[in-house]
Amino acid sequence: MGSQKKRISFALYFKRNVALYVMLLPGLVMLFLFHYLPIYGIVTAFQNYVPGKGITGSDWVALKHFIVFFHSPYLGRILGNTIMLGIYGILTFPAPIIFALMINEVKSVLAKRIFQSISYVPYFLSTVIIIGLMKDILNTDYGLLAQIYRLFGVTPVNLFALPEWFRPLYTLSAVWQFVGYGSIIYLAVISTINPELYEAAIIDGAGRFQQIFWITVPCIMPTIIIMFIFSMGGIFSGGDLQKILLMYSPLTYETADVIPTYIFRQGIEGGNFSYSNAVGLLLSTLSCILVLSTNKLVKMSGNDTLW
Amino acid sequence: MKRISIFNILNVSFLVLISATFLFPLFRMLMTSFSNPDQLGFKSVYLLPVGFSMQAYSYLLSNPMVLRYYFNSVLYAGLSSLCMVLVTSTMAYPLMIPGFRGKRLISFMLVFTIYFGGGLISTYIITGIILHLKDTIWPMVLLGTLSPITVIIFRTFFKGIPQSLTEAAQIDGGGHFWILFRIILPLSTPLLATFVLFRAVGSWNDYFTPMIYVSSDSLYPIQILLRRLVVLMQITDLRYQTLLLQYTKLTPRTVQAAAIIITITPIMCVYPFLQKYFTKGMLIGAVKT
Repeated sequence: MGSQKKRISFALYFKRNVALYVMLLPGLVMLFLFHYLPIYGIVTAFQNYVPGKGITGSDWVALKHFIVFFHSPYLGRILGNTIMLGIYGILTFPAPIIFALMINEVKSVLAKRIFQSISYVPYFLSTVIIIGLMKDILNTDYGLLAQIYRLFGVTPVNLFALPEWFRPLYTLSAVWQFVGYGSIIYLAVISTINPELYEAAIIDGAGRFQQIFWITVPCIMPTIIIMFIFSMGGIFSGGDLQKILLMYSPLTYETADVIPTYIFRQGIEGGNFSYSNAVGLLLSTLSCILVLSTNKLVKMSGNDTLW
Repeated sequence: MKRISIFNILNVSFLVLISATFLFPLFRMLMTSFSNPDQLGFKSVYLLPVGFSMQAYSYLLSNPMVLRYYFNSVLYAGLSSLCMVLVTSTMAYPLMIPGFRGKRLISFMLVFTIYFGGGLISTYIITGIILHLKDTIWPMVLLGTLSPITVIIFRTFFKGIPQSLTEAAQIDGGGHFWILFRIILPLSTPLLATFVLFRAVGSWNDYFTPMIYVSSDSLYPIQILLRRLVVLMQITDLRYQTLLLQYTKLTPRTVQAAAIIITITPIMCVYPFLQKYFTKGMLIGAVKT
């Protein structure tokens, strides 16, 4: 599709294909209202936006909010928490891979399907339900964990209130939720592996583990690398805002408060629209740069053989 | 006769254990929901309900507000899926027409928004305040309806439909709208099913959008009720004090559990379909992108 050869004028093309342009209208309106207008709305980060005065009526303060943020006593905490949460997230990277490998080694097709079906269930549960299930298990009176504590004669503790437990709880529940979903892509690639490779290996006397390490894993390595690079792009995202909001409390802010939750409290709850927008702008610029770079990295890693 | 190796035994055992962890928390909730509140107290629930009672369910389902929340969830899920299909297919169709003037501009405008967006606060300011959509159904229905990636996937899929069919329609005098709605969409059922399911489930599970945009009780979906019962009850929150008093008479545990169960029931009902289209959908998305 090269440049537009003006064989017929645009006006004529338009007249002949008005339907096409009419079709685009709803989408373009949505795009404008909900994607591009908010981009314009970013200017409020440089103002003292007051809803009553509107964007055009509010005064301009340029970089004031950014400066305030950089002097904020909370900066270190939320930045550190955001990065730590991202690192914890990356640590869970092998889980879907291992799960996929385990499923793959099951010989019965029916059993494979059953295990897979069951593993997708947590993915479809809402965040509220997942937190609800967690609270049920961790409850100090009737929770399963409490029963185990009591078995060892220890008084049960409410883990939700302990800052040092926030990251493990958050990360473990994320694994629980996404390991089934995450394994799909690896299983799909594994299914393309030539069975003859395994047959040859068995003839050469390779055991199960050896087959996995020397055939299965190398074959999915391109996928692994790409997925890993993609997940790196999410380090600064600050995790799932919705989930953290349901999990944290002022008691656990020291580990649980990340940049998105700070933005939420300042902006939506506190009404400091301009300030929180400024912080948000910083975050999305960082994320944008990171995502663009990781995408470039993926392209560069030469992935013709990927899918 | 197959030799059953230790490897297999261990592997399957671990998988059974893992599967149990996926299912048990929900199962426990199911059992709790059918328990008798008087006998339940603070006991732990394992494989069976403690006593038996449908009290929690009758309380929830006879409460008109609960039914209202349920209806809202259905409404939002249905409307947003409908909007998603309409807006996405009408955007994708022109983009797949060979020689469409403006294709590059529109594609760029779409893809740009994947990488850079307004952010939560900016979107809230525009949608809630400036567009005056706060406290209406529209944030839940319209936000997130237009996803550039979905448009790209639709476009690729439409391109794959044999031109002979569209050409035949054109010969019969069909215009673009006719072709889209009478030929292409009916042929795209698996595609539509996948994305409708995803969108509907996403909408059903969303508590955040209603939470920040809506303050009228009558507009809340069921996830908000769930959040009140299940999450907020563990933290003192004066706003919900009255709700607490109402429910504590019936032992919150059974009501909480029953609320969870009625919220996931629709999801579990379409689960076989979800699964089928889910695996396909994930792969289509991955390959085409």
